[in-house]
Amino acid sequence: MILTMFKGTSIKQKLIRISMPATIAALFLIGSILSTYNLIALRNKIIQNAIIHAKIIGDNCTASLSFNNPKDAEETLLALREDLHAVYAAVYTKEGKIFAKYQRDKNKNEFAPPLPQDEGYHFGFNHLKLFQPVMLENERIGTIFIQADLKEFHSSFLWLGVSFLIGITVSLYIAFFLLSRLQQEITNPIHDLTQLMHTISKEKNYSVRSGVQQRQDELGTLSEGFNEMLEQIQTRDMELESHRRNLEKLVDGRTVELATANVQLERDFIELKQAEEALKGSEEKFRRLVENLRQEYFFYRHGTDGVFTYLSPSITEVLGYSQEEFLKHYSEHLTDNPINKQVEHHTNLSIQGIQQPPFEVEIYHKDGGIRRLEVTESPVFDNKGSVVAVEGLAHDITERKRMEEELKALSLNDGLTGLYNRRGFITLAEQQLKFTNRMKRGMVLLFADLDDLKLINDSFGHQGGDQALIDTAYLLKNTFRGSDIIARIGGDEFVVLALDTHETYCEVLISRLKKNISIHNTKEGRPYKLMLSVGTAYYDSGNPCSIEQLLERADKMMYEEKQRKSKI
Amino acid sequence: MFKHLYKVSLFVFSITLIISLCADAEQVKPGEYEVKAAFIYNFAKFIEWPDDSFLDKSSSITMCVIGDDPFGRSIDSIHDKPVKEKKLKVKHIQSVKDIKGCHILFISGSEAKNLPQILKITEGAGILTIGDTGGFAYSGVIINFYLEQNKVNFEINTKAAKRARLQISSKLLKLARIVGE
Repeated sequence: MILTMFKGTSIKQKLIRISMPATIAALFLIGSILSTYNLIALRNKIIQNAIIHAKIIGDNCTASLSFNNPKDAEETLLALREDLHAVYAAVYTKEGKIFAKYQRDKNKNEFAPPLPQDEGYHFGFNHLKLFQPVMLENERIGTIFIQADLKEFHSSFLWLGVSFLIGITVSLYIAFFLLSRLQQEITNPIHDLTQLMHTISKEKNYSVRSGVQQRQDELGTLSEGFNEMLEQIQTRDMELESHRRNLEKLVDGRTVELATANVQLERDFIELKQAEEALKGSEEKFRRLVENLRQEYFFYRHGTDGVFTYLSPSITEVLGYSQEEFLKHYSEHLTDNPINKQVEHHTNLSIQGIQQPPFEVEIYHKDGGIRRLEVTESPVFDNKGSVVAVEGLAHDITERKRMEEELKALSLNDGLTGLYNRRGFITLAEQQLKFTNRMKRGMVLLFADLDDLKLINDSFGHQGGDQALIDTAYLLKNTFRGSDIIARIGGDEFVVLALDTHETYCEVLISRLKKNISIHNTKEGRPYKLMLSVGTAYYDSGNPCSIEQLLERADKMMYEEKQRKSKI
Repeated sequence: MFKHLYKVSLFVFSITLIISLCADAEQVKPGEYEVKAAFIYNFAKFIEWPDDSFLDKSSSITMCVIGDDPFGRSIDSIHDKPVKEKKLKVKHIQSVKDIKGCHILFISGSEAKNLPQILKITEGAGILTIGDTGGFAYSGVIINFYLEQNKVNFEINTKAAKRARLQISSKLLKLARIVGE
């Protein structure tokens, strides 16, 4: 029954429902005990008081009784006026006759004392009657009677009852107040825990903690356990999250690999296509060579003095000039292209009897167009082995050159360094940009310019310059990760896109590169030192921009560095 | 047979009871000297004698009557009665010489002419002198009876008591008329 009474109530109510009756019972018990004790004490006090008075008065009446002096006995009895309880009193002789009597209220009817009795007392409803013998030298010489009224007793009883009720009421209020406070002490943490639990189950936020564990009691332990549980959940959550991230990273990695593979595949495909086209072109060329030899080739022969002795009529097909026109104004038709400066040198060598590799000549067509010729000169020897003439075969390679340029333009790679060319870089970088945006990452673009390439070219020839570029590419490959996109986008301009790299790494990347350069410069013992001017730009997915803008920023920074260097 | 006897005995008992009750009702008021005798006995209870008055604790209190005995048989009622673990003994003496050994001395009115002589002997001897003759107290007798409205009263000469080295209870003094010399 008690259990059904508590069903569906909160802990707070349960606590109060248990505690209040217990408190009431305890208060009643204590109150009853105290009241009873007080009343018994008061009753005993009244009795003791009456006995003492009876004894004193009796003792003082011994002479009166002995010498039959009732007047004196009455005077003695008057001492009872001081005792507010005593209302009637009487002294009896040994024989039981009334000897003297006393009554407090003289206005009342004259008091008729009861018959004397043996020593003792009895309580009436509102009085106490007491008989006490008067002794003289162990002889009973009379009896004394005192009647005390119990008004004080009754008023005390009433007062006790009232104060008991007031006490209980006040105590109950205090108990209720204290209990409410006490139960708050217990239920509040529980309530907090419950709230916390609701919040957690609603928001799935396991990072919150209960603050109840500072308590040293069971609730503290409970809360601590709860927090520990949360901790474990959170740890697992974090592990799960980290697994998820790892997985994502793995997927990203695979995606990049796939993309790279895709690019590679595309490149292979293009190369294959190029090869195919080249093959096709070759076939065409040979077919055409056979069919239209006249349209692409012309022959000539000149003596050791350089004077033409023969010119094939196909010159008209190739360059539009008549034989006479070409022979007469041959040197005038050459363009300003620096490669033409080598022509004389080659011819001189051929005249000296040295077989030359084919060299190129740039020349104007009669229609004003520029033609590129590949000339193969061979010295003609007589029986004695001395040069008598030089024969030449000129091949119009204008179309081939154009196709080569086209092919070059189609390529993603830089033929010299093996790095990506500008086209390759832009293609890959744009792909990477999208990926970075999606992953909300950042990357760093590094722009490097090989200083003084012109000087190297001038001092050590084009081969020297090419070697410097190849070395630079090698350095960059060594410095950056395989996954970073490294490209040569211009003559002496290199760029590196360091993927998934934070802005703070810019300095690190630059210093690593510079360190590698200085190692290279000391180790190789080259005639010249590689010097790079470097600029960086950070790409923040939160603040996107185009690859061109990024390049511009890095270029600007690089340029500023170059300026600084030149000032020094 | 027995039933009859029971009834008869009950009747006899009843008659006896009635007669005795009537006798009690007719009891005469005690005579003057009976009261005085009882008073003298009671005085002994309220008075302390000096230690050297008694040979030992158990020795009796001796009351002597000198001169003509006014008590007659009534004095017998107090003879041998216990007072303070002692017994009161009543003795009649004729000569002043016999006063020594008395604790209480009742001086009869007939000895008025010998009073100074008697008091000379009793002075400082721890003897309670009692009289019932007017002026005795003034003369140096410690307690003296007198009648007032037919009631026996007594007066006490406290100085005489002091001289006799007797201690009189204040309760007793309260009832008495105090007399100087």
